[in-house]
Amino acid sequence: MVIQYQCPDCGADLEFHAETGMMKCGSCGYEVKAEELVAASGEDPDAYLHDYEHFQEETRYHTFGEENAEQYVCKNCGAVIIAGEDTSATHCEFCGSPVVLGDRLSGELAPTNVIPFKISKQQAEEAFRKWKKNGFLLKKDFKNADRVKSLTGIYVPFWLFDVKAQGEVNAHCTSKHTYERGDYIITETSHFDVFRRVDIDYLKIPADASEKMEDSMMDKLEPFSYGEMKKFQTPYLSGYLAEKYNYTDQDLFPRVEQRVRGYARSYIRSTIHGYSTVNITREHLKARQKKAEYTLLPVWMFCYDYKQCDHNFYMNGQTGKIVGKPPLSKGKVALLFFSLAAVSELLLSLLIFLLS
Amino acid sequence: MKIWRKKQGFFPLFFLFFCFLSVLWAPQPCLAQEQAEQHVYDDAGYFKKKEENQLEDLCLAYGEEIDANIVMLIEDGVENKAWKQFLEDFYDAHETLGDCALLLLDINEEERRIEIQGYGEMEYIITDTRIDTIIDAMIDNLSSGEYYSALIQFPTLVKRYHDMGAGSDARTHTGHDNEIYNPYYYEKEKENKIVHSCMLALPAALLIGGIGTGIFVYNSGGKMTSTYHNYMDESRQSLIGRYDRYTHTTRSERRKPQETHSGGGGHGGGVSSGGSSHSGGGRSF
Repeated sequence: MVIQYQCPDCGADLEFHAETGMMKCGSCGYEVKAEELVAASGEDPDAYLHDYEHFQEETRYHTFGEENAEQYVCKNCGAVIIAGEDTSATHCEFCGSPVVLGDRLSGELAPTNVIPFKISKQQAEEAFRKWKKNGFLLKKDFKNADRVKSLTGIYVPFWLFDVKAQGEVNAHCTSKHTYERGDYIITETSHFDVFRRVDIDYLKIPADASEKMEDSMMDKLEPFSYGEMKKFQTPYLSGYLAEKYNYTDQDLFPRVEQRVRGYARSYIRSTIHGYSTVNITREHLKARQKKAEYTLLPVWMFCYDYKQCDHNFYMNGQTGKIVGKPPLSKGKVALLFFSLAAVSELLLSLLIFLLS
Repeated sequence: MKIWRKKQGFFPLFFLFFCFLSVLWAPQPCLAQEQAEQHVYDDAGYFKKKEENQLEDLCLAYGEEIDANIVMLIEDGVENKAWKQFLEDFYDAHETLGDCALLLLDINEEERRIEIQGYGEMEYIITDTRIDTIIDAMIDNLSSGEYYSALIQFPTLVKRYHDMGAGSDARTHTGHDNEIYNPYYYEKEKENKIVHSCMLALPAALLIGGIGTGIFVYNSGGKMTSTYHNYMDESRQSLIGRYDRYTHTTRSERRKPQETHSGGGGHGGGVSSGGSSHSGGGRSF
């Protein structure tokens, strides 16, 4: 099932416009809200959605050639749309028309929510250029060159987990009090048996469900602002790439559980204060998944060609935060090291000298 | 051009660092001690002119070598037997002596006394203990009336101790009488302290440099900024049980670190009425 949105005025393609948050016709400038577009179509928004079993069956029998690519036909020009097995939104290779592959967003594959792009392609390019310029450890030629091979707006599949963490912690804490009496310095150490019990709800912890995306990079893109999250509707995908998930929430929960344990530990530790030393003697923590919502989050993906090697950078399509692994200049790193060491040496030796 | 401007940001730091190092390691300005016109004052008229000249030459030669004045006074009786006072007054009266090893030989038959004092740098070379040792070495000749033989020992002994550096009891008498500011000692101390501070700070500075750079490098590709606060449901109470029970108190005592002075003695040191701190010692023979 191929979904394409056309302008009611001129018949050109409608795309989601990040800056206005509306569906916009690139030809005549017509704008309409995504929700209104679905309602105006007079159709049940879920009517085109088949159930998941049906989709799997379809997929099995309609395998197109190599690499499990599917065959879809563009309603605009009639050309065959080539889409990878995980793609749920793309462009027609022939006419460039944005297409959404509805059956890949159906049944169990139907996202619950989506955070629409807020940063346009132009803004993303500008922000990337600025980010490169400000990275003072980056190699000179990397900073100066402008070799963005491709810039793709992609809705990455995430599971947003609601997790309940419960636990108990016992700690041995001490508090020191030092005073002088006569020729003696007396240190009194008070010992405390400290206990904490917590019952914490964590809401919407994201975990990326696409195997193409590097987990550590996707984690660094956080946080997303959930206030702008919308109930999923296909028009938001128009004009962007979208992927379906490769991992289920059950697959990803161990990773989230580990993270939640760390969070709970940090929280508990923050409630134990006012002591000189804190030594955890017993810890019992457990995390339970309450809910997981399949959500598409906006990411701009930069493919940067540097010395015949592609470097990928990612930008949070909502907040503009950029992450990646830029090539660093060894000379600048060494310079930074020596400068920091020199300043520290100067200040420390001055301090020691004055104190002595 | 932009890169150049960026790099310039580091230069002041380097400049500062090298200035600091150069202050530390630059050779200390070494002002030569001007030699006194006269080194032997034979007020008692005991020595023949030839002997006096030989002693004079000896004091001058060794004095130049150790960059200090070696001065000998030969007296026939000192008023009120105030030998120490006599030398102090002599030093105060001869302002140009600077770093100086002073020797007083009182050959009066009733008094027969040797008194030695060290001023300036010499205060730390011929310390009270060393002065005792010097007198030990000379005492046999003095007792047997071989004053010339005794006196020619003095410059060589001073030179020997000079080559050995400051004495271990060098500090003793400065803290003994009055805490007197002594430029030589102070400068040496300061220099040592600076070097010591730098050495002590170096590992920590390298560690800070390493950690700082590591953090920069690690975060160069963006860092994880979300914390437990981002996802925690703060609308409900998360901490549902707590207690902080006091169990007991332990107590430890340690003696206050005391200011310690190494060595002891120093009976002959002091400060002249002109304010010059000195080491010293004397003995009758």
